[in-house]
Amino acid sequence: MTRSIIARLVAGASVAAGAAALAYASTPDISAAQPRSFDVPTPAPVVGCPGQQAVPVGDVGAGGELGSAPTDRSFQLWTPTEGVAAGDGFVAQAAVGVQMERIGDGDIEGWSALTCGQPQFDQWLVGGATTLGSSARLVLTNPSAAPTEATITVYGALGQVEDSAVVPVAPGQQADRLLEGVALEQPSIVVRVQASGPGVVAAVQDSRLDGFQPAGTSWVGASDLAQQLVVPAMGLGAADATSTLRMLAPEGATVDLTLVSQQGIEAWSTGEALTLEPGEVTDIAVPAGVLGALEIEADAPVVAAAMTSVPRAVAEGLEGDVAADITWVPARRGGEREQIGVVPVDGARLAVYSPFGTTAVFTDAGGAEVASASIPARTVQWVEVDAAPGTVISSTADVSWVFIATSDEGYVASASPSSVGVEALSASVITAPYPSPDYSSRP
Amino acid sequence: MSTPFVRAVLVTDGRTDHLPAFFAAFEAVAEVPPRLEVVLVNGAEVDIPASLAVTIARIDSSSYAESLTAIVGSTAPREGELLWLLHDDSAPSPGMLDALVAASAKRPRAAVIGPAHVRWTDSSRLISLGTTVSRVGARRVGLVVEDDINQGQHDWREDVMAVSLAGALVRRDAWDALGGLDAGYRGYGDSLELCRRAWAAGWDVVVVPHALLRHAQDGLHGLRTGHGDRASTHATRRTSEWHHALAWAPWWASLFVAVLIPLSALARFPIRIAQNVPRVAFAELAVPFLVLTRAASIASTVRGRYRAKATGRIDSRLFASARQVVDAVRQRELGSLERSRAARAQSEMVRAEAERAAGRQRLGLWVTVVVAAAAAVALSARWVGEVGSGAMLSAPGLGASDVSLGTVWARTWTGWSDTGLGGPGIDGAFAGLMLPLALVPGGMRVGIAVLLSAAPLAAALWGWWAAGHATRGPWIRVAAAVVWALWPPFLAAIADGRVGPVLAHLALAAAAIAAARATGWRRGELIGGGEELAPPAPSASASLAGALALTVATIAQPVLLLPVVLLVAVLGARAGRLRWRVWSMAGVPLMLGAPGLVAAARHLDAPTVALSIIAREPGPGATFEGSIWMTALGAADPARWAGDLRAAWPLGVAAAGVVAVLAVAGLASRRAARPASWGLAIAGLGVGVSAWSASATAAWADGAGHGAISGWPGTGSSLVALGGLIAALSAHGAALPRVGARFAVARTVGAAAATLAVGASLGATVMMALPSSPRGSLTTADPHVLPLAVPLDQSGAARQRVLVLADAGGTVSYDVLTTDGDTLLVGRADVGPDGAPLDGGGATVGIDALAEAVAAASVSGAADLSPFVAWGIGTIVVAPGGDRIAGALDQNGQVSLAGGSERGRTYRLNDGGVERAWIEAPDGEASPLESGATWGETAAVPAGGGTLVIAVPASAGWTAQADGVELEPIDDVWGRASFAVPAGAQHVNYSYRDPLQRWWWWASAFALAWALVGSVPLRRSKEVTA
Repeated sequence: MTRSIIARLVAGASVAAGAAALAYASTPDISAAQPRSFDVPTPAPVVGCPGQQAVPVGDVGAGGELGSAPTDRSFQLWTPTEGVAAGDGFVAQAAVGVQMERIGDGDIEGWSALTCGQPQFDQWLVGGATTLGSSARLVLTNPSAAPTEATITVYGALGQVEDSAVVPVAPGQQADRLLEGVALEQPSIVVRVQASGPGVVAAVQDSRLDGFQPAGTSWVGASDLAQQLVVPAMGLGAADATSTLRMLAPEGATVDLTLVSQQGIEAWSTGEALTLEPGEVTDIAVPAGVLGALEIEADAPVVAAAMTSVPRAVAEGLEGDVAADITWVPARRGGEREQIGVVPVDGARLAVYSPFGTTAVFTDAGGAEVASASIPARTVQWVEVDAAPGTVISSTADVSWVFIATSDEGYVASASPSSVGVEALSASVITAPYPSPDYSSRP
Repeated sequence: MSTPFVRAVLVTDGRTDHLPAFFAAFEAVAEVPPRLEVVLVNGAEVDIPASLAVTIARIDSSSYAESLTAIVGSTAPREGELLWLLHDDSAPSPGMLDALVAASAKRPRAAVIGPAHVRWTDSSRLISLGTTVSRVGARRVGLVVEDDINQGQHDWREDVMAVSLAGALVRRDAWDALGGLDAGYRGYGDSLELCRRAWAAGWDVVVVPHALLRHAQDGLHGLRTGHGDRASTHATRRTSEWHHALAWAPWWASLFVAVLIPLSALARFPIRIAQNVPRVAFAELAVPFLVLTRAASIASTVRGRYRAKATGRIDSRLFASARQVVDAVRQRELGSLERSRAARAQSEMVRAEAERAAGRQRLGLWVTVVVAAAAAVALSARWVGEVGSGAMLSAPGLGASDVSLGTVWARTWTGWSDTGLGGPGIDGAFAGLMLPLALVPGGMRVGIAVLLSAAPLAAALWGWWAAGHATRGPWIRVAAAVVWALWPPFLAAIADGRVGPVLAHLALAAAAIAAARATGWRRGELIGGGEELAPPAPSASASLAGALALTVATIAQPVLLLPVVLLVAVLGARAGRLRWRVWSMAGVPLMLGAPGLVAAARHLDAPTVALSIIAREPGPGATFEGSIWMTALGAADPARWAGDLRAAWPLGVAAAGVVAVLAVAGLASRRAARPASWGLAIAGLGVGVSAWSASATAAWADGAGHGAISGWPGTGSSLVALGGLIAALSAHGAALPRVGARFAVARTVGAAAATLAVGASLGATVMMALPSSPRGSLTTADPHVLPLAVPLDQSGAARQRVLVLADAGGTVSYDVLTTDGDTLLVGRADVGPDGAPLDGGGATVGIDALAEAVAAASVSGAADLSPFVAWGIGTIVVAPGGDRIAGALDQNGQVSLAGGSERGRTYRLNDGGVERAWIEAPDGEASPLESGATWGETAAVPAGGGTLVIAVPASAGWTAQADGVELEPIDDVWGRASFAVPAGAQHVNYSYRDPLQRWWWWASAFALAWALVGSVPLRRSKEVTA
């Protein structure tokens, strides 16, 4: 009997001890199993420039007054280090560069500028058309020492175009494709370029004809994919200019647009609660005539850019003919990062937008102030730059800006600053046995 | 013919209790017994009846033979003198002397006339009626089976090769001619020697079956030396047999006999182990050495034989034929079998009842098999087909299950874990446990799949068998087996590929069976009228089988080691005379688990680390995420069910609840209180183990592919299940033999509870197996995970490592591989929280170095990849989907793209010129060594010497030699094993060898082999029993 009681006591004590241990049990802190982030030294930057524009259809045999090829053209490349030819374009060991081209006649008459960017793996180019009279020429430049392969996906007004193209680009070389070969008769396109390997610098040459008259030409640079974007310049103050905002939400979004001018927010009834269908390109005409900027706020990531078309009188042509020049200004995330750009041409001005009242100061590479201005909240202002072409300038305030170059003849060009390369690289790593099949998604 | 003169000689050292009986018998042996010469050896004093006419002589001597020779030779021979040689532990029967004398008269050529020896306590049982010897002479064969009942069946016997001299008459003239007894035999075999000499010298040896001598055989049973058992004289007896064989072997056969001696010892050793007589086993091993010490005595025997002119031919019919030898062995062994059968013989009626009960049990077994097989099929259906078509099982904590036999063997044999950057393992026991799975046709891939697929069925069978020891109620037994087999944490372990806990669960049931059989604490079969048959006797083999089962459990889950040792210690303390048998169950697990305990002892200054080491996960495992207490108590995790079924969570706790309620009922009952207490104590221990596991860091990050993981509380839960079931079944088992209302209540309640438990277990299993339920983390993968040519570099002379980079949703996951897929199945490098080897004696490797280099390489084309080269990583594979990473590597001039496939893009570092080990000359030139996982060599040594660098973390086991001379280890900035190579060296080699590990390995192998052989249920023959 006593033994049974002792046995019961021992059993009870064992269970109680186990329960007590359980009450105090807690899984250990195994923070080493969490991903760990490391800052990685940024490699020496390299930029690629697409080079001169090309007449999309080439030499069709017409000459003289009907000749399509320009005879009056100038091209300048401004990079901190000397550019090296890469196909028809250029590469340079620098964080930023700019190219400026002025064409005085032919089908692609007009000014165009483009900030030479660093290679990216995934970029959205918002701009271009492949309807009759329009040509969109995608130029891929690989400034790296390794080959890359770019997958081109085109989105049109009805959504993603089924065909896509895969274009290999050799190291230090260039490749171009006329997008009308991928997506024909698309009045408004957005191009997504996804590159393997070291990435690629992509740009679209958007050239248009209106009958026999040049309707403008411009380079389309990469836009940001984000929920809050700013197009820092449109309208450009030209009284008869027209502006079009192009947007695309890959997964669909509802967007609020706010148009601001030099005076502040402009009343605009269209820009509220716009619904963007997934993958469908939407063009919206924006009131022009003044220098404006567009604030874009969406509930899902969108890409956007605004095209401003400035008409001018034709030199030769039928009565009623109007020539024009266009420029695309891509939408960028608000000025959360330092941005740098290169003055493309003498006389280029800055269109500067700020979401809050501030004094925007621009300095050159040596730190000398080349421009400054007071920017009232939610306005866009012209800022004159006191610097020679080729000067690298950077902003010190959280503002969005773009170089705008215009001529008395009605030519217009813009060059957005670059933010690529100025941020430090970082990567997070975690150890995981391999193979480590992903089972969590299986039913 | 002269009248015979019988000279009765008793030599005694006084160390026997049988002298009074002897003197009484001697007085009664004849009307006028002959005068007795009592020889008192070494000052012995004995009480001699005054009525007896004796002559007393005193002598100092070390042996019976010497004393006898001295005393016989002290008087001149008389004509017709017959020596009657008497032992103090024998008693002649009345008339025996007359019979012997009559025989001597009848057979004048008989030098020795011996009586039949019978048991001291039972004169109807024969001990000896003459012996013979095989041709070789190494085996003495008795002419009767020991304890054969004397019914006169041997009365025809007359001429025999030899008789025991105890009680025998020996002609004095023959005694003198043959040289008397040979003292070199140390008391065993001297009779045979004398008799055989007699035959060879032309004399006869005769046995007189109706002359009976009661013989206590004090010497044989070790009573004179105080050992008190026959085993204590085994070595001497076997040595004397070989002594005899060598002395009588023709010169040309001596070598053959000499070779036979160690072979015989080696062959007999495992048999003795299997008979669980370790003392006799070691005695067998000692025999060859004892024979060596007898060399002089053997030579003396041979000389004595020639002196006695005992060189004649002996009739071959006197020798034991081969068949006779075999028969003798068979009779001895089968005799023990027959005795054991006879002891268990049942009456006809009982046998019929028992057969009916067995029929009910068989039906229960079939139900168990069908239910468990269905559950096994339902749970493994998701992978078994794919494994059949060539896939392997894989899980995040498992890596690749297609591990080669060579890898498994190397891990257990060398103690070095080549996983990641490598490191000394605490032990190689888990890999050893995996060896049988790697030997399955189809390799480890199939072995693991079979184990995990069949685990529920195996658990059910073990569970059914085990439950049968606690209760004989067929349905309750089935229920216990089903609850055990479908215990939710066990099924979760299967679903997640936790091999260790699965094995531990299976082994615990086997250990329970073994413990019940070793102690005899089990229920007998129930027959009509509530009568319970006596359970079989405790089994020594079962305790060693239990040791094996506990070894498997504690290797698979080291956290069980200390609880199991505690349990066995307490169990043994309660086992009375069987305590050593029970305690022996902990010996092998302790032997194999010792390195873990030592490693923990090294970290006693950090108790949480020490506890974590003991609770380490030696094989595949992943961090536990879930409710600790639910897992510990055996509740099913509703998260493993389809979302809309999770509201049915009570189903998952029902089975454990039933077990708990019955266990508490058992505790409350009077009859089952003690076994139920045992069960609940085990369950409490299990809960504690669960808490311990869950709080432990089961493995720390090694920085080369394996992050830290927390422990799995399910292992403790297996103990909870075991204890709970023991308690619950004890309650039922104790209630069943009753009659009347209590029996009816017990039976009804038991059946209802069993049905509820089975239903709940099956229900929870079905919930888990439904197609809409989430899969466990175990899934299938292609066994070839690396691009085609890459594994060749891993196994080639350069022994390159491979770094695999994968994009895990923006985070880069990496793993360093030395084989085609991670070999977590054989354990990882055992490193502590600071990256230092847990077994001590090694360098701490900065585990951040590699991670940082991986981070840089995955985003920057300018990343410095030299850390990879420094650690022998020759290839980087970017897993499919890692385009960004590939992009960075594409830009990196330190790698070259070697190809791409659906298994990933391959980059070579240094154009493939990366080695596991090399000699760095002073000018920076590197000369590679041909390497394996734990060795390497080269004959191309730079003339000026240099530094031998082995791309492994430095640890004490790494040694290097130049032309046979040990090289001095030197410090290395990366913490690698490095040695200074002198100028002019011609041949340099290195290897990993941990002497302690090797000792442990061999000791473990010996202990395991012992347990394995000892667990064979071989009955002991009389030859070796006490």
